[in-house]
Amino acid sequence: MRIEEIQFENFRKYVDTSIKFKEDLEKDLHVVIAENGAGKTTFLNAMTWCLYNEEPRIKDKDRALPTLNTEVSNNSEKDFENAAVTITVSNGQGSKLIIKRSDIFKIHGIHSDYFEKNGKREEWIDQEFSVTEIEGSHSNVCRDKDECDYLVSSFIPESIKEFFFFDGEQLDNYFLVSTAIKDQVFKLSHIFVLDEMERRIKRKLKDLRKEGSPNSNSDSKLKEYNQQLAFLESEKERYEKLNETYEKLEKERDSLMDSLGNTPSLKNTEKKRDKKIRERDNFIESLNDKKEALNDNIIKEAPKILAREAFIKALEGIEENRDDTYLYPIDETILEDSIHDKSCKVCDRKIDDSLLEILKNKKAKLYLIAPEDEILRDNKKFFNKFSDTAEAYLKTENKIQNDINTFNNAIESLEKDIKELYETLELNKHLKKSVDRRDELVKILPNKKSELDSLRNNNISLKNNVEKLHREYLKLLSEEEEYKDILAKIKLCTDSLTVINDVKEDMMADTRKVIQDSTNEKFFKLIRKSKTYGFIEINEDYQVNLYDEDGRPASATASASEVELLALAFILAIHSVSGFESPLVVDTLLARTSGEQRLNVSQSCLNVSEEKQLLLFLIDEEYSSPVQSLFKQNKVLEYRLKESESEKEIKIEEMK
Amino acid sequence: MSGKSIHFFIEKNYVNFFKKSEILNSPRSEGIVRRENFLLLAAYGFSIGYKTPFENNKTKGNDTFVMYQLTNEELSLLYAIAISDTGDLEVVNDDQKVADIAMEYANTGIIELKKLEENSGKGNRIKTFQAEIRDFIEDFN
Repeated sequence: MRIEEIQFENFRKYVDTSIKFKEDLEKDLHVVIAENGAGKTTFLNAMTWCLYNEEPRIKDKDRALPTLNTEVSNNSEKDFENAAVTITVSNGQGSKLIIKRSDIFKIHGIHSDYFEKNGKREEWIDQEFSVTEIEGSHSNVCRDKDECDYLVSSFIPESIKEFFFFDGEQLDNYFLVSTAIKDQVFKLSHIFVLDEMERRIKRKLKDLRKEGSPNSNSDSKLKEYNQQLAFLESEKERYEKLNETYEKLEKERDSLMDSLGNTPSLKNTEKKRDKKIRERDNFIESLNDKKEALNDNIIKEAPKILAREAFIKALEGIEENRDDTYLYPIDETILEDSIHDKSCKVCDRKIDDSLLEILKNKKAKLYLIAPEDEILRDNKKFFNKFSDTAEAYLKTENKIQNDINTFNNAIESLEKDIKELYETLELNKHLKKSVDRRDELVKILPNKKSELDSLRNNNISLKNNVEKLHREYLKLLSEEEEYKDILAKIKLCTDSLTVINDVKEDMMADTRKVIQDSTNEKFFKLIRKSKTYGFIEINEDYQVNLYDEDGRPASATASASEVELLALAFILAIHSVSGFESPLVVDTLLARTSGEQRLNVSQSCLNVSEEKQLLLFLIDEEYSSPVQSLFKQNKVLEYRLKESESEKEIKIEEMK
Repeated sequence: MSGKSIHFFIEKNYVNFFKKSEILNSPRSEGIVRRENFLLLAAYGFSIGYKTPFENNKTKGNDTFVMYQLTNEELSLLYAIAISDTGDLEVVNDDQKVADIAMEYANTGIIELKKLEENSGKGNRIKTFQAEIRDFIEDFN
């Protein structure tokens, strides 16, 4: 499709002007030239406003002037005024779309409250948007907004408009923001349709799950049931085996009990015997101690008893001599001093003559008996002590003897028991194995029984659990039957989502490949030095990389014009992929180039315009003489935006 | 006292018996000292009432102990025997005499003890001796 005409009515400075893009030329290239600030941006905004109600080049929309021309609003004598832009596009086969957007303003008087309050006359009332379809002689005016948008999107969809209304000033940075490009390619490759489908299916799935017992999951329940059932079976089997073993052992025990009767446990008998032997040995040890004690008693005490008569005689002898004052224990020195001083050195009493005589006698005898007197005096205490020894001796002997008798009796009794136990063991020697086995069985069977009981109880509990799981499973099954349709839909949705995702991935990959191939083709058509570069690669993140013939990265060394051409090729590739062969509107394309590079880009534009309509918006500085000459040679149509002297109105003039 | 270095002997012929007598040597008699055994023999001989002198010095067996090893209590026993034997208190001034009297009574003691053991069955010898002491006490009372 191509733009045939654009009409302006009271749209900002474009009060009443229009531009027609002639078609019957070799090159469909149109150049709109303007001085800086002379309305080029307003022109471009007018186009996007008309098509999408959007003015991307106005930074602060709240503070922007209304679309209605100021002079018109100030001077109008009407009650209402319109600001309108009309774009006529054709498909080159007789079909046309006339797209018109109008802002309707009420014009208030300068004495009105509105003017008093707002300081302006115009008041935005409404907007009208219409698309007139013309097919041959038939025409149809559409005013429904959605339908109008739909018709506009057949020209250039809003979602990919950035690829058609292109700001040349951003070219240098164009490939830096690859994620934005990726999103846009995503849009133009119609994957957004799949996205929308995915979103809707997910929403549907959510609703279905809410509706259709989302907790129902018979499969997992069945799995759990089967696991538990298998476990139960294995436990049952274990129980059976254990029970079988237990019964065998029980039978064996009973049989042994029957055959052995009350035959005592030989192990216990052995233990008992050994214990009694230990007890007996202890008694023997104690008995020997007692015998020793008895012997000691004899050895140490008997001499005193046997010599008792000697002691008595010795004591009697001492006593006889005592009567004769023969053995007083008097110290010789004291006696001598007392006799010499006639005064007792023990009690200080004065010694009279008679006493002095006695003392002298005493002294005389003292010399005779002194040695034995001393010895006997020392030993007398022992002599006396020995007279009582017999009683003590007998008492000790009796006590020890009693102990000995007790121990002897105990030993005798133990010997008897030991003998009996030996006899029992000997008697039952041939039964030992059986008795031991019987005793072992008696010991272990209660434990085995308890183990069995525990297992049986566990199995009962397990069985209950399995039955419960089965009931739950059946319940889930019936629920699932009830929600069968819903579950089928859920399945369809989940399957669809899988397919959509797969298709999306395939489409993304295909689209990227097509864009890459097309970019390569177009770039090498546009660029003159076709041997400088080898190929272009577009990776998954839509980074466009240029390589030389040897496959080395060359993006960084590319000139400004080459980067522009690369961008141009990429955009044209996207155009072809999108299926919309609509015009390309580029603002200030030549600003970053000069000299030969600028000429190269211009030549490329001419090449492009052989295939599609190309509208270039240039300022005077860009439109250098060589470019003008080149364009004139190729009969390119030029238009100039001319601002009135009052700077309040712009006219579009076709240059001859 | 000089007499304290006097050595005590028993009749040579009875030395072996002295070593293996059941009464003098209990089953675990390691701790029984020969001094104590000697005193028992001396007292036993005294209780029997006669002395057995050595035939000559050659018949003295190996010495059993030396007098100074005796405790005062043990010494008093020998003094008592000596006083009783001589009826003279002054005998205590003559340690050699005290010792000789004791040895002669000990010779009697070992002769009679050997007889006693020979006349008693094995294992009953102590019991027999016990009975004898008990009889002695009863008689004395």
